[in-house]
Amino acid sequence: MVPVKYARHLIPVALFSLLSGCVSNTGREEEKPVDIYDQLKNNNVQYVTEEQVPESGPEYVRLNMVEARAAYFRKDFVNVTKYCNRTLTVAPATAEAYYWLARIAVDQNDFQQAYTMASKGLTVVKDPNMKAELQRIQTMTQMGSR
Amino acid sequence: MARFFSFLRSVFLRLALLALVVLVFAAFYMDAWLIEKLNAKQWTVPATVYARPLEVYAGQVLSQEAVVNELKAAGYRSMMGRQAGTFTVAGNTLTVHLRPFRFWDGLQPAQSVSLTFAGDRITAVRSSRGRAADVRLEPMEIGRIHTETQEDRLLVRLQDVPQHLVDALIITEDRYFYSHHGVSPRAIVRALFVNTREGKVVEGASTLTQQLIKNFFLESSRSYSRKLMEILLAVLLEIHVDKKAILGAYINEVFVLQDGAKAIHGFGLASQYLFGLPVSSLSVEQGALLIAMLKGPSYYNPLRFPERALERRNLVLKLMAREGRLGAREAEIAMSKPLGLLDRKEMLASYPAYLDVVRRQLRRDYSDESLRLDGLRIFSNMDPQWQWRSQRELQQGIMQLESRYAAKASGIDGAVVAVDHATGNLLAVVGGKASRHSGFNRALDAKRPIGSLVKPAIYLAALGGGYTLSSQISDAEFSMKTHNGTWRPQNFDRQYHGDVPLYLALAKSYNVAAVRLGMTLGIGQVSKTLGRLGVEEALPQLPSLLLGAVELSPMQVAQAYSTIANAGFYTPLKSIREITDGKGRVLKRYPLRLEQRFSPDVIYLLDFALQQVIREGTGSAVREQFRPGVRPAGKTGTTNDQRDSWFAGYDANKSVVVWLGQDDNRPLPVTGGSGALPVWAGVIAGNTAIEGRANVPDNVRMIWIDRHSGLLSAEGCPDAMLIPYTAGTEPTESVACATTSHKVMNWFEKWFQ
Repeated sequence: MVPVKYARHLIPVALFSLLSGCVSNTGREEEKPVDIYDQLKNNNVQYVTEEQVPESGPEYVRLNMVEARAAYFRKDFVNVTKYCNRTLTVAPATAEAYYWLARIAVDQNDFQQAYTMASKGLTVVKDPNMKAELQRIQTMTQMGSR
Repeated sequence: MARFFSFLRSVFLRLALLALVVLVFAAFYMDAWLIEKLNAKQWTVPATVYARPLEVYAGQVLSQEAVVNELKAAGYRSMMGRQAGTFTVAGNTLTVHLRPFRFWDGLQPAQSVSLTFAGDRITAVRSSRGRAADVRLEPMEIGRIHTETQEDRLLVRLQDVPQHLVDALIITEDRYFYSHHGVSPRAIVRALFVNTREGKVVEGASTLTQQLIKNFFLESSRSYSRKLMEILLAVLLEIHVDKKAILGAYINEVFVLQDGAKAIHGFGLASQYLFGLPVSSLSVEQGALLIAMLKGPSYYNPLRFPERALERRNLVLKLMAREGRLGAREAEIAMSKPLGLLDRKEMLASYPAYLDVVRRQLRRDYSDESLRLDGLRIFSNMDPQWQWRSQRELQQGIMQLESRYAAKASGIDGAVVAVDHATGNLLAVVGGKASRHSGFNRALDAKRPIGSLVKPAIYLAALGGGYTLSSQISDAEFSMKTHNGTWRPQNFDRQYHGDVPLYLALAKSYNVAAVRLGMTLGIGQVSKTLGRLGVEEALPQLPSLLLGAVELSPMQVAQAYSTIANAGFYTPLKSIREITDGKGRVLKRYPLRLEQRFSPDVIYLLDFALQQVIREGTGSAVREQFRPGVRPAGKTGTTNDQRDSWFAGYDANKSVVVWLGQDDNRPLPVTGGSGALPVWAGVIAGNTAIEGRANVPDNVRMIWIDRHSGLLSAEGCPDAMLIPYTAGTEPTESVACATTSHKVMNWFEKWFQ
């Protein structure tokens, strides 16, 4: 319990804390990344392709990623690789393709490759949730765990 | 007298008995020999190499003409109807009737696919099988890796051969096939009679079994003993195998025609070669033509002697009608049809340089024996659109130089390597201007000094060692003592430019600045950077390395520049994606593997500088050829006395390297910018993949600076330009023009980082 006579010294500190809290939080709620793993499983990820020319066929890319996701969850890694490679040939800035390749590498205990794939995905990722997920893979592969 | 005849009779009987015993022993011996040969015999089936399959989808940038060209190259024909292996064009709709094809991941069944185009884009894809998202056009065959005997065949089963073809074969070559036991006495007597009447050999008596024995097991010499062996072995063969097996072996063994050095054996390949069709799809007259050729493959070669071949074909059809195997009307219709050969212009294209790369990659993983006997199916990464464009641009580029510079340009040759740097897939390899002919593969084997192509390695080492794009580099006169005397590097324009910002020294390819910087960093550091880029070659640890006195092939340069283009991630270039055996089982895959060799922020800075080469540097001549939004980057390379003209560059997902030079090392009348650069631009400007460059790395900021002094500036100030900096390396001093508001914004940003 702080003695009352010292309380007045705390007023400027309290005021400063309040002010810095206001300034740093003005209008910007820090968004916690959503666990994208569940979203990907249910195919409800918004496919964001800002730098891609919209009329050049993102539908094809989206379809390939849907197939890749489905293949991953039935552990059909051969087809995951196929769909990811197809996507990267057409749209190399598709972070999700690197994400699935990284996940396969994790499942195969090739943590070095998983880290590298995730790093590559991070060079092109746009979606903040995907970014967080790629960073999570980087972290867990550095620690050598799943 | 009686005793004499008795004596003769006794001798004769003993001799006959002896001969019989010898014959029996010989028969047993040859039977054993035959069984051993039958068990050991394997057909030599070469490995087949395919290009990448064309995957089609709505929204794809691809013209109808490009698709048709690929279909023709894969042996598809333009014709009405729904026969597999054909296509039709109706306005902006292309309908393809795909043949079934076994890819590395399974069989794609026959189906009809309809593609709708609007300009240079596919707007809709419909498949008769429903899954339009998964449609791949059959890949074209780009070559075969042959045996020493140069035999080529496509194995087929007897049940795949149409009955009319079998009928024509029996009627023409061995009408008593089903009734004799290897040798046909009737055929012998008939042949004797006909040949005696004609006074020359016009009819043979060899059965199909005898022909098979001769081709399969014996040499082709003509002697009585060989003939005797042939007869004996034919009888023995018929004891061991049934008629169907003999027929099945025959249709795969028979020599049909010669294609240069290659001998085409079997109806399977002959059918593909002449008609672009599987043997099961042959019509009566097409089958009759194959049979017609057997009597004399050279004499009746339809490609060289079409009239002769047509006449002989019609004779076969008449024979079939006479023997009741064909109706009279049917025969008449068949005889009225032309030969119907495939237009071989599209199929004659050969890709020796690319095949060479495939062979070398295979040699690492397979013995020559496996390649010969297993009938491997090799699915390569060659992209026909890129390959054709690379060949065309190289040839046209060289032709233009020859017509502009006449004698000075005679003998110029070149090479092109195109890569999908995100995956490491080799899309195109051109080894020379005569790209269809095998010979010296300049893309792989022409190791030439790379000149200024080495400079990105110097600047990359600098950027990774604390330099920024605006660091002032001295381009003042420089000399140093070497064991050969004094070395005084010169700029191309023979001038010195004082202090210049780093990015500009690279964009303008100033030699002196590069040497000064390289010497400061250390040759070892530059050499190490080249190694990290993927150059696996012993490098001379001499100052001349800094001006590119190191010999590399275009392929090696492509590997290095792909690492830069791929945001600092190295992936080995590969020509093969999958290998399967003849039954479709996957034997080997070549998956994507990456190695991060440089940090993204350093590469981002280098990439910016290489973009400046095109924007304002030695590559600016082609700046306008690129559509808005595309940010090409690259480096020119010109060696001493202009003996080599290089350009290595990339866009968001493809890298291309072009080299021009003379095999005898004579000087060229062009530099990298005036020779290789236009060829490069022609190749890469056709890239239709979706753009998508790497993001600005998290710790890189775009800052306005003064382009001459490298000091802080602001938007709107004269000579201001936006340049990336890694955090903490931004300039702190400003030019006078930098506004107060800019300074305040910087201050605020620093507080809230």
